[in-house]
Amino acid sequence: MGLVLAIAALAAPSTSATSATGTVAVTATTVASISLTFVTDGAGITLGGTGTAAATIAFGSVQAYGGSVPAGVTKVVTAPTNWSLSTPFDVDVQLANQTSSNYTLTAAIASADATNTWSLGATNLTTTPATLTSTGAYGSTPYTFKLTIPFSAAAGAISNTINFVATAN
Amino acid sequence: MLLMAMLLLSGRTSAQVILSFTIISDPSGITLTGSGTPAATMSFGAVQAFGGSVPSGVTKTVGANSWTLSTPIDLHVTQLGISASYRLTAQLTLADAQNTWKLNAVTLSTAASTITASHGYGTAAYTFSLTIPFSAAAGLISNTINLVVTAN
Repeated sequence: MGLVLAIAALAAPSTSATSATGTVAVTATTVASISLTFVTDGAGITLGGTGTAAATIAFGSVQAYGGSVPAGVTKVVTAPTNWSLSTPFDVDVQLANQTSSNYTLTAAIASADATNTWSLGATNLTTTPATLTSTGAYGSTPYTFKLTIPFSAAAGAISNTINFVATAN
Repeated sequence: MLLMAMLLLSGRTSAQVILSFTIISDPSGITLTGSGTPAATMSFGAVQAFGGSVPSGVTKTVGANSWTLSTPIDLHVTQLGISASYRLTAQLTLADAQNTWKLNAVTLSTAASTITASHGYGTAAYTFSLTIPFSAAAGLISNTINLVVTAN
């Protein structure tokens, strides 16, 4: 009888609650940062690279009279002086790990253009940064881009880059 | 006969499990200081939500109101005994009402949380993540995760 009980105990051994410990010390130093991205506006032309900080607007082949413009683009002909293409797009500015109630946004074209007029809202752009807002609210804000082309300009490709800078106030 | 059997079985009805536990850099994760020991250090350095860079093996995810750094780490647990699995708990040394610390999907606090109730011995990867709200002031974030492995 004793032998039977002893064998049963061997078949079902017990384990004591044994444990081991370890530690992981974690450090990170966070730095304030600001983000500016361009997003296709619901009523505007589809941006290339929407959601990034480097977007493109391609109007394609356009003309003052006749033809067509991409969806979201408005063409206005002011005969006999000029015609314009305009479209809204969104500028999304986000802030992280910094206290700031608003931001200043400037824009400038990369290459001087003595023929055409480049504007954002009511601001005509040059190669010198122009302030679009000095109290921009963080989040997404629509801006209307307009390119005005004089009738006197020769047909052909028009190309430029608008550089934006958002600075936390 | 009975006496012989009892002598043979003496000391074997209660098995003591001896655990060995180390923390190791995961091949896909950040390089830990003190890898291979039970006391490792994970240093992300200077990091930011927008732009900048993160150490190799660290993934940065930017959300609408916060951003997250994540990286896998390996825990190597071995045993001398008859335990088939272990239980892992983790807790923070310091309370943090601002940032969110996770191991796998488990949010850590100063109370011990079970990361796994039963895991086989050997090397296993666990994903550490730290989520920082945009609203948090920039600066040093520091804490220690205390891990306890218990034989089942």
